[in-house]
Amino acid sequence: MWFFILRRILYAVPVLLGVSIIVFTLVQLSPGDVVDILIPPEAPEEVADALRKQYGLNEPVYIQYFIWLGHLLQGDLGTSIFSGQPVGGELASALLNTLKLAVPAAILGMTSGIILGSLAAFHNGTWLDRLFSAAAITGVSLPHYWVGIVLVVAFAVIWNVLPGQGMGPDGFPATWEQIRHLILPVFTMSLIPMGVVSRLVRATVLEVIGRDFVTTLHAKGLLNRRVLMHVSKNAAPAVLALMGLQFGYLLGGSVLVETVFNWPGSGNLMVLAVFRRDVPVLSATIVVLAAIFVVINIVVDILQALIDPRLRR
Amino acid sequence: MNREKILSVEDLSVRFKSDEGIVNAVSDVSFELAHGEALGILGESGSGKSVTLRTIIGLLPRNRTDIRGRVRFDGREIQDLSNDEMNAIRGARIAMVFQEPMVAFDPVFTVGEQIAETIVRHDGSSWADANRRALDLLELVQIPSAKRRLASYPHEMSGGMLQRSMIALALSCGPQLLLADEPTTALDVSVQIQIILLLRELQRELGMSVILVTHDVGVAAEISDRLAVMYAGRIVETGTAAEMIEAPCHPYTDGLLSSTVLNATKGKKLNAIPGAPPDLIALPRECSFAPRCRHVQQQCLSGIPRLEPFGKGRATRCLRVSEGQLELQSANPAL
Ligand SMILES: Nc1ncnc2c1ncn2[C@@H]1O[C@H](COP(=O)(O)OP(=O)(O)OP(=O)(O)O)[C@@H](O)[C@H]1O
Ligand SMILES: [Mg+2]
Repeated sequence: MWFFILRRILYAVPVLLGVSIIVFTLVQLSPGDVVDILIPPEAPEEVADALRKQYGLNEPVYIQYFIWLGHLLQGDLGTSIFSGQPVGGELASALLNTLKLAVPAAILGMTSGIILGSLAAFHNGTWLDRLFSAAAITGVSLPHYWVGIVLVVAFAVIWNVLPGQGMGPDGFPATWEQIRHLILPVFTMSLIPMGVVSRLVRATVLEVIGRDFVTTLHAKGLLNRRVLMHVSKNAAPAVLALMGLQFGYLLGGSVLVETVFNWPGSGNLMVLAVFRRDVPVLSATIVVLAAIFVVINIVVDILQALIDPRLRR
Repeated sequence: MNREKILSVEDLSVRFKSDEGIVNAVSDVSFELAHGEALGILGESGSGKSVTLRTIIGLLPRNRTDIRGRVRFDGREIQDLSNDEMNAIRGARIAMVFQEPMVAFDPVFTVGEQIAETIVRHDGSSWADANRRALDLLELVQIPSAKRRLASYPHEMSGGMLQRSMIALALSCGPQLLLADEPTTALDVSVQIQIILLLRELQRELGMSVILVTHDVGVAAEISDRLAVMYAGRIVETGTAAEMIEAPCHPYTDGLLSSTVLNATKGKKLNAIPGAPPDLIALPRECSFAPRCRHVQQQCLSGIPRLEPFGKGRATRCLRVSEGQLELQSANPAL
């Protein structure tokens, strides 16, 4: 098992290197550079050249990549061209803000998804199944920024019972005022994980309870809760994989939801960086999010292997 | 055997509602099983053998299934039992061994856990005691290095070893009735023999009643005291194993026996029965074997033959017995 974990972590290295190359290349491919944005077009060429030199932009591209990578490896994510502040700090606070939405949204969406999906599977073909499946499909197919707007209009504008904009007072959401700000965006963001998780849980549970070993469990006279335990453990790996993926998406910050609720999270940060051609912020954000994705994947792989011995190879 | 029978099945019919129509999987099946007796059920694929076993242990899906007739186990009608009562009997007093050991175990639990959980469920013992008993059971079914195997997962074991474990699992609560549904079909030939010998030995040692379902006449003959041959959901012949193999009287039994390797090795000709079994959705109102029968007569098409008793505890659904034509036949059984 330890060997499996170690190998799994080592596999992540080439993946991350690949990600860094892709991110760097894509950013290079975009037309224009920061210098065009920083100085007016009529500025003398020497000023532009000096700036390019300062940012290392006149080096050959691969040298630029290695310099950037070297800094990344030392934990230096660069300096924002727009604000002049280190990217690390900005990114950390944006990610933290996103976490405040993503964690409760994941817990809410995935728990309800698992409950709805299993209930639908165990009542396969009944009106309950149809109702829950319809709810799940609606959750997946409604554009969630639209749901967000409707909720803001209803709860913040018409009834004025919940705030629809911003985070409220800073800090860990503990006070009622801070929690009130979470309700609408968290609900909105939980819809997609709820929908996809419940659909996968339903399909997986149905597949598992159709397998031969479940007949053996019944032939042993096991109580329903023990049978449920067997079924859950068998369904878990597939569901975990999807939940990891969904949590990654939530962390990437739902750009649209963050925009609707004016939430200063990682999605928002990326959008701003694009508009400002703030290359250091943009590339650092993408690389860090990709790294988080990879870590989540490793965690999911390890959990899967802990559950299913056949995966410990 | 003058005590009450452990199992009696009376006029059992099982029908499934499917999209194509009603499937008559089992029709008018009756038989009895004494304490310690071994019954072999023979028949082609689709003849209703598994459905019969699953009815006895209460494993058929509830919806779209219509079960008629009575099954008495140890003096109680199982159809009168509540779900909970039936669940308490399953695994404890009636146990089942399945055809494919590779898929009959849960892949993400160890074999030991899967045996022990049954013991904990029915005997209410502690997990420690249950694990100790599981080890004894694995030794009973002669699994090498049983202690290590307790902690093995199903995918780490061979088919033969898994089937031994399945038998250990079935025996874990000391059942009075063991149902074995083609326990050797999925195994290598050499392993098949070992499993059959093991089953026979355990059955004699523990005094269990056994119903063994199989395609294989040789396997059935090895274990069974009595045989029942099923065709298209009906028992077409039953009797003691020795007599039936010596002198089969239903033409289907005859065909089944002469189509086995068992007979071929005795120098007899290997024959397959021509034709195919009838569609269970549209069963004919006549002898369902008639279209394939060498001895078919006009009367065979006028109704379903009754299961007619004859000789010592034998019975068959063939007009030739009721009409007394069979004496000629039994003198020359392999014809
Ligand atoms: N749940 C079900 N719904 C509909 N039809 C079924 C169901 N279970 C079994 N059948 C049908 O009942 C018939 C008898 O099946 P059964 O499994 O008892 O045959 P069998 O004698 O055990 O054959 P085999 O040797 O292939 O195992 C088959 O035609 C099968 O398709
Ligand atoms: Mg079968």
